Amino acid sequence: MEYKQNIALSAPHIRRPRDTQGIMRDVCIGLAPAVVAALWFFRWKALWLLLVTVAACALTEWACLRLRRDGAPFDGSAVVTGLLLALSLPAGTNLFAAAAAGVFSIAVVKQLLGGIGHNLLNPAMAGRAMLMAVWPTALSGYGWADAASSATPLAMTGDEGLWSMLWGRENGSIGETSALLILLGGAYLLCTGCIRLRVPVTCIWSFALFMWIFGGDTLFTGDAAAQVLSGGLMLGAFFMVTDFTGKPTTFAGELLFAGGVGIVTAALRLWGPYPEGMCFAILLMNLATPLIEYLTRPPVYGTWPSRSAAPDPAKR
Amino acid sequence: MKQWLKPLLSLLAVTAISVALLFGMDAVTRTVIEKQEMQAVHKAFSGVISGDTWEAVDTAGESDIKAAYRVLDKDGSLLGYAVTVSVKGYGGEMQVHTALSPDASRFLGLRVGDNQETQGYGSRVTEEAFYSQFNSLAAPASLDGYTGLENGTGSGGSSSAAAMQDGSYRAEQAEYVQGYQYFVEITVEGGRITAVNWDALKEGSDRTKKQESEAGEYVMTEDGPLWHEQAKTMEEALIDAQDPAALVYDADTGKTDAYTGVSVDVSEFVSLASEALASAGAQGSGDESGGRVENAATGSGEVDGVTGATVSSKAVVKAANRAYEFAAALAGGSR
Amino acid sequence: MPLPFRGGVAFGHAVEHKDQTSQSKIQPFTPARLVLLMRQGFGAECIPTVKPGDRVLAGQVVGVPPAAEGNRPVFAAPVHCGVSGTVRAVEPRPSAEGQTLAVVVDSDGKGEAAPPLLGANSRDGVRALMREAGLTGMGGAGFPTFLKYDTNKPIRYVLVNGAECEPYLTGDHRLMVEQTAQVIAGAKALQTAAGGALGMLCVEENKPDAIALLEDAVRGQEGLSVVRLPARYPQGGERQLIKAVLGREVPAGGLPADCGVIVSNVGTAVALADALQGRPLTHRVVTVAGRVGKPANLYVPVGTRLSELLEYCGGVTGDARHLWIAGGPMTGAALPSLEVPVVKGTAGLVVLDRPENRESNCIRCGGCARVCPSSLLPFAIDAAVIAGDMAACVTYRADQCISCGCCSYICPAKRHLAHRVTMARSAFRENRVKPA
Repeated sequence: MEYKQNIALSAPHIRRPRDTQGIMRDVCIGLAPAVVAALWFFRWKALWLLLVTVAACALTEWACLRLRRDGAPFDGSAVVTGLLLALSLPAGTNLFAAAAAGVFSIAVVKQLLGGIGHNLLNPAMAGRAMLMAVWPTALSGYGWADAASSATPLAMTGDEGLWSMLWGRENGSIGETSALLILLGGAYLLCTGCIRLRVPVTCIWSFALFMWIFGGDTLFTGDAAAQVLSGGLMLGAFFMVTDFTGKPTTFAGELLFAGGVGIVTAALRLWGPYPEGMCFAILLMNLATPLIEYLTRPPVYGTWPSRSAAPDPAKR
Repeated sequence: MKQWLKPLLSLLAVTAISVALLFGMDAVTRTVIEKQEMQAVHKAFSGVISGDTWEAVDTAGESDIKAAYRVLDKDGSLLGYAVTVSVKGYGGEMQVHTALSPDASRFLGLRVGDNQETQGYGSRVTEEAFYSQFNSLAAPASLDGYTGLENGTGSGGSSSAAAMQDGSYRAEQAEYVQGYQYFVEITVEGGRITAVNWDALKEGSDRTKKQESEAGEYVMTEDGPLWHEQAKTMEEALIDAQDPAALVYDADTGKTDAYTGVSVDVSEFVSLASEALASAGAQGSGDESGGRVENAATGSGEVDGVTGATVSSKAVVKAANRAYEFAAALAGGSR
Repeated sequence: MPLPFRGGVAFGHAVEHKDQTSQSKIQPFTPARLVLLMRQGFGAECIPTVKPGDRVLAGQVVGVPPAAEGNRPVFAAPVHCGVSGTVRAVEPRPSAEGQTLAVVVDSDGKGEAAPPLLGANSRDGVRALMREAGLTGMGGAGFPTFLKYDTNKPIRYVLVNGAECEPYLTGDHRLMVEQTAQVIAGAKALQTAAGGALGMLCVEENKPDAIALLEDAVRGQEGLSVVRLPARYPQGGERQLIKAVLGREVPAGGLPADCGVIVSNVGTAVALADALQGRPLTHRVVTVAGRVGKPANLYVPVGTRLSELLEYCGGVTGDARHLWIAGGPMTGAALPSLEVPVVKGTAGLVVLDRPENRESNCIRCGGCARVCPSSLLPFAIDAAVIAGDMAACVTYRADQCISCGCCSYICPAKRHLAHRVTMARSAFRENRVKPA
């Protein structure tokens, strides 16, 4: 009997080799194109920002895990948080502020609530929101002041502007410059099964639809394409909305969550005080996740009488 | 080992694809982007200078000069220089687009691009009224004595229109006043003032006032700067300004607070310097009240600042003169 | 025609390891001693009908189910001895559950047979034969077959389950290939026992040779067909098989008969065919695979100790710490010792390296919810069990777990989800907590 109750020896006896570390490793690889683009466009500024936030997050995680003493492994999720945080900040961000946001993300938002999986909010987005709230000037230096590029991305329209956005010549935080490379990283995550296509697709479509309806001078005249390609939408849709911890696990819940992020982002961009709404949209929907998940529990096998009385296939 | 190999290879592959894509798109879009950028440049300089060919000039090593072009017409003859300078204004960096004549002797015009100047105050440097002052203005420009020129920069090449003839010039007071007879000696080389000496002969002595001051025998105030030190400051100010008229002081009292530590009456210095340069045949008018002067013969044109926006105005003038220096160097063939 | 069931896992070739034994013919193996457990898995403990020193014949009954109390049926079938010989002892012996009363028989090697069973061709006759021959489900659970067919509900379909979706196991596959005629005969008898229901032989696509042979065999047969299913675990779970083949769901708390279906394993069909020819259920096919010298499919008498099987198959390979599993790796029980004998439901002996799984925090990836064939949220039940919150387990319908193990298999945090959800389900069953 004792043997039967040994939990480690309970069925099933084979496990998929994939583990949390592997997933985090794949997310890092998926973020590599965005990181490469950031380094390409912003050079040393991006490098320092990335190094500082990743180091701050990883060291804080390591320290918290030491303090916890429950043997929780270093699974690399802090590196992902650090990368996402850096990619969501503008190149001119004060490095001390970036480090503080990293420490806050891991220590307060994640580890105080019980570590990976228990945090209600997306740590990277919460860190960024903290910076915007308490240290807004640290985020100055948005973009690059060049003689030749003077248009702001959110005001840009027209074909050349769109191409430019897709390739990555637009202002903004260091990770959102090249939509194409973000798509490349997203494709890697899709191939490795880290994310489900429905999440970014729902997010982007709901955002585009809302923008198209309300984004113009009159209804149904908004320039959805330019809005989709600008700002942090692509990065957020592929790497932040898909973040496991903050989103519901159920099928319908995922759709609701992603759609909600898209619409709230669009609304904040149109009518909010900040030019970029992704961060707050994700945090807002994070808070709604437990409710969404509870309400969208899938229909349990055998509890739907109509399904038990399905028609006889032989008579069809 | 092996379990690390696969993710490592994936990372390398993904990174390689990313870099390849960036290279690729750079190659594909470079011409388009350059065209777009040139259009943006043309737009920035519209109304100031236009031409068929814009030859970019290497601005490496000049961190504040963002871009510079030789503007040529269809036949390849030089129409002028277009220089974009980044300068710190009141609200942050601002971009000043300056066009200069082929010999860099005068401004063709000026526009202020990206800026974060205060709306209604500093931003008025972007108004036509301010811009038009630079049309055909002799370079370098000055603003109430402020030129923003850096000491010793600009070589003043042979083609420069600087009208001061080389040589040494001297002007002195007609008689002793309160025991001193002041004089100013100015050396002009390459059309520019390169040395100034302001001193005074002491009545009944073979020593000058400077020698006296240096020996500690002429003390004005305890702990204050000595006379020879103050004289030196003013001499350097004149070398900086290249124009006695550009020196700032109160016309009534002759005092100035524009130059650190100078407490003496400088009006005499200014008038002597003007006099000395008059013999060089090319000094400023000596009009002490400021205001706009456009003298084709002089080496400097004066600009009215925008009221209430001294910092912005000064920044623009500084940028314009940086552009001038750069263009002058180009025109002089030193680049 | 097959409709997908919800959730599940497609293991793929590398995880299934079926090619270890899928081409190895079934070999007979008879040990010198049998340990016949009086409790063959599921249900009540049988009463021994022999005592030490008695001589027994091959096919003789050595244990009978206890008498019924009131109206509740006794979940047990008689136990027969597979060899002729002498009863050495009647005593508790190691079993997968710990210790179980067993009849230990020393074989004399003569194989002297008891009088054969009488055949049957009516519905009641076949059902009686099922009971007499000691038929139980051969797929693992060991539910007495005659109880399954003892229903007054109208049965429209009999699904003969040849899905065999568990990794490593190939016994059913080999039976379908080598004893196609017996499978067909058994299937027809099962149709009779179900009152003339339509028969469907359900086979996964990863057994193309079996499908080809069965399709040939059913050609021209009225009311019997072959259904080809995509390979997906747990297709062999009866509820999932019904969903996949017929698009129906067995109502919660009900039996397949409630939606007009009975599911029986291929092995059960073959055992019924044998019983019709006079032989009670005394032998079965066991796949010995995993880290063993010579993986094989063995036809062995029930009661053969696993140690002897392992020895016959060349022993264990590799030097890591091993784990012996009775059945497949997804649902089989880890064995405390190899002295445990084969029971009627033992489909395999799989030897694996002992896993080194350390649980870490759930990262809410949702993998378990995605693969759960019952549409549960295993991670939520896991958390509720740890918190001792039985009310939440009711809300999340832990009673509907089928213990397939998909959730634990998929979990990147290596949480023992299946174990805890099964615990929650057992709590309902034992305490008779009424799910909401």
